[in-house]
Amino acid sequence: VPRPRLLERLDVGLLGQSDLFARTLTLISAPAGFGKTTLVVEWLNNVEQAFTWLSLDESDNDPVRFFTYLVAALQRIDPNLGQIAQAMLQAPQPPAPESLLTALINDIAATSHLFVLVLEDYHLINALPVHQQITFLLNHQLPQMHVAIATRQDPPLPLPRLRARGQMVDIRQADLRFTVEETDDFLRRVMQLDLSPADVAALHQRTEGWIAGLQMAAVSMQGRDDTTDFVRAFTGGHRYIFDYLGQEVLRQQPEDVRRFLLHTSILDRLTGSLCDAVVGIDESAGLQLDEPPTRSFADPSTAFTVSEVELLGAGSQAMLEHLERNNLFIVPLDDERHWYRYHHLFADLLRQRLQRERRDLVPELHRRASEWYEENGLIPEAVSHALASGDLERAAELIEWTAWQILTRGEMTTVLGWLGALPNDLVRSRPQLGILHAWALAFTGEVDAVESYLQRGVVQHVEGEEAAVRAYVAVVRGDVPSTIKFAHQALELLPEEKWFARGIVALSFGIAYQSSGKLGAAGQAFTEAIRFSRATERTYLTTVATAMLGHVQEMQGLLRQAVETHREALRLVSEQGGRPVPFAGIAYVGIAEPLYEWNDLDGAMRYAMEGINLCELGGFVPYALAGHAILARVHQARGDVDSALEAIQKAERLAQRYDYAYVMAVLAELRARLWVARGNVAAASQWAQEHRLSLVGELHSAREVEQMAVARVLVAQGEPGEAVKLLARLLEAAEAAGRMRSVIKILALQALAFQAQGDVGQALSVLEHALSLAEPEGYVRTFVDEGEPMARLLRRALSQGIAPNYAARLLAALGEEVELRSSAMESLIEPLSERELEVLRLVVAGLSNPEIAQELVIAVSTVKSHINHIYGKLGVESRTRAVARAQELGLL
Amino acid sequence: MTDGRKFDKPGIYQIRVKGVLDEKWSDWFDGLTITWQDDETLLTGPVRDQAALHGLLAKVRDLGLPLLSVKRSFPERFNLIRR
Repeated sequence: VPRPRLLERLDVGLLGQSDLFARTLTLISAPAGFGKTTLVVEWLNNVEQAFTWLSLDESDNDPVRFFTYLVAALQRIDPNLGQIAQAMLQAPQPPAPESLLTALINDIAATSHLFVLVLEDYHLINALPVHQQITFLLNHQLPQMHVAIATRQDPPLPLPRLRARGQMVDIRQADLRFTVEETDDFLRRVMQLDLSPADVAALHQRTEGWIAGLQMAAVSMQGRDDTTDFVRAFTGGHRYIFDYLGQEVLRQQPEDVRRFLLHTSILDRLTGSLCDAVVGIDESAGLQLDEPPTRSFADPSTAFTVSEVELLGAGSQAMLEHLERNNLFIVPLDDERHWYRYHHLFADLLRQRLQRERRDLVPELHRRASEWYEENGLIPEAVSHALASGDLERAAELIEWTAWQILTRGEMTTVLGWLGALPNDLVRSRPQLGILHAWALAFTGEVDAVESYLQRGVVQHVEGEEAAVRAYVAVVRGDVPSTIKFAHQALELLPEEKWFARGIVALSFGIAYQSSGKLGAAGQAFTEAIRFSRATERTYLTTVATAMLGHVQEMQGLLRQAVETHREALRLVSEQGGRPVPFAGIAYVGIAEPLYEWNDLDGAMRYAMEGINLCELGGFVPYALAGHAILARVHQARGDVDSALEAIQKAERLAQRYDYAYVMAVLAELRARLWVARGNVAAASQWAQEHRLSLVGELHSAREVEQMAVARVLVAQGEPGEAVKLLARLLEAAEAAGRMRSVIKILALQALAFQAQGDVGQALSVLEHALSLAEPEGYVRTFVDEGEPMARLLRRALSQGIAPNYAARLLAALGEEVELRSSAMESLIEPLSERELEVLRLVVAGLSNPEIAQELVIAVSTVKSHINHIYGKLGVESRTRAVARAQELGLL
Repeated sequence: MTDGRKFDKPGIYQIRVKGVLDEKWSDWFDGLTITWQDDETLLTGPVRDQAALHGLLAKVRDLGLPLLSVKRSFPERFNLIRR
């Protein structure tokens, strides 16, 4: 029945300027049987835009599962949509929903396709995380996407706001009811019933335009001569019309059709062979019902022309097609008619009848369905039916078999839901289920709840898995000793073929060793992790382990090998589909670091920025922070102090939120360096004083970088002797752990400290050692970043023939820097005098005019006049602008 | 006032819907007793907790039965009334 009055409401305001969607949402909210789906189909067949359809069921309350199906639906519009998000889902720990959705929204915003996303049966969703996903999508008001929701109850989405802004249209029960004209059109034209206008009017009044009711009435009347009697009997009573009509419809059916309907009503989806299995048809032997089939027709005047023989011979597929031909409330789910489902309301009716008539059969029917699903490899469905059949042992077995796969797909909620449906005793009697529960909790971040599901292992491989879970939990908590203890146990006990668990254990090992500075062991562990995860074909694990290995190599000072390893990680990712995925960000940051060291500032910046974007998308915060630190150093190397500060501050804010001690130390080092470079020795000294105190006691290797900065400040404030002592301790620890990158940096600092002490001989010998280690890997910035004192020392080295080629190259790089700065100076029409530069430095350091006067031992008025000259030469009117300008020009 | 925990325990509910529903639907509605008043149906009986109540209301929704009212009487009060 065409419904122009509704189609018009759906179309009005849908599109705005330049043919993009002006409206965000269409909500069709009404009880069952009001033709919601039919209306949407009719509408979408009439609009130009493409559409994609997502029929929801209870299992979509798992947010990851829902998201996966959402992406699959969107990819029918444009295969590029959601690729990044899909790759992100490979992580064992699901990424933050906002990251996934942001990635998806970016894709949608970039697509040239305009489409309608239909969410059918939205009332089946009761999980808040899923509602939040849809809210997030709606809030972004993407002009390429229109969402149409069909539901039996209003969803908890921001509807009032959308309504107030005119961004949604409601179609409700009152709108959907058939008018008398539509009822007439439907009964007489579509269903071809010969009814009087009075009968039509009576039926309309009795059903109140409820479409399912009219349809059932029509099916009941087909082939009957006494339609007026039927109408009178029907309209005369008060009985719930659905009940009344359902009975009528079923009474019209031959016994085997009726039986088929009842027995298959337990299925959410129907296909020939599944129905065969459930009703007990053996394909070779024809129909074999549990009881001898009675083939009496309830009503001899039935309209059905399909012969019994036809039905018997062809099994359930023919039955399904028969049901469809005869409007028996069955909906094909694909064009090939492989899968069907009953109209929801009709299915409820059938289930209720089945319960009433053959309650004893229900478990057996579910068991058959479960077996069919198992044979056909659809294990999650097999689990659901096993649970419904009450055969919990069977359910437990199936869960053990499949849950690991579901788990590694990220559908933790599904697994936790299954386990929750099993009684505690059963879970306790099966150690493997306890392990699964523990993994699911660990991956969802519920690390505190994990322990209560362990300690049940009796079988050896379960002990191994227990230890693996504990190792993973420990690494999440940053507990290095426990990680190493449990990872050892796990690797020893886990059977060879437990590749994924082994991969996670090896990765945990590597992270623990790396954070405790044991690089050789960390490198080995990551190499193992790569080997294990390759066996599972999990790109995520392989890529992450490879990139981690690259970072270890970089810490070992092997810059070239590190870049090669990171490029290998990127190749792995690109084999997956060509587009960068978030965990590739770890490798991008990994490449940026050596590029910076090689003085390729543009390259370092490019890789760092790409890495930051991806890492932030994927929630890899520590690596995003490392990327910010590289950006800060690039800015500083270019003399752009403002941008450097900005990058540091940004990173500090992020780091504080997550409490990453190592990254905080890296940032503190950058800040201290900046203070020294800008002449604010006071601030640097104060910082160093505070942080030197923490040196009492055990020297933590992760704080090495911070202590190097302390040493640099000590030299700057005229205490090189203290610096030499501190650096000697650092050197010893770094050499012992094989941190060659640190060794080179410490030696460079030590050489400068000796030079500041006036011990040139010692300075040169230490520098020579540093250069010999650094030359093969082409280190540049480690030396250049030390500025003029390093240039002085290198000139001395050159004059004494120490590493002459390398020293000359480093001096050239240093010269470029000097040149860069002086050229900035030349770009001023009138250059600043030495005194003015001196004043400017103090201004930048944050001193007030009286403080400057005191510092330079001049009158405050003189300071003011210097500052006015500086303003004039720099073309600025304020202190802050002067500071900014000086930094732009690299004057300081 | 009763505190929220009271609702964790079973309570006697009465759900009133429009239309005359066959008493054979009792099983479908978790065994609630079905009675009638004119052209309305009363579903009465113990409901385990709030989640079970919402499950029943979803069934009412899914059958398209217009919902008229939901009432609760706490067991002790119910027992008094029955006596």
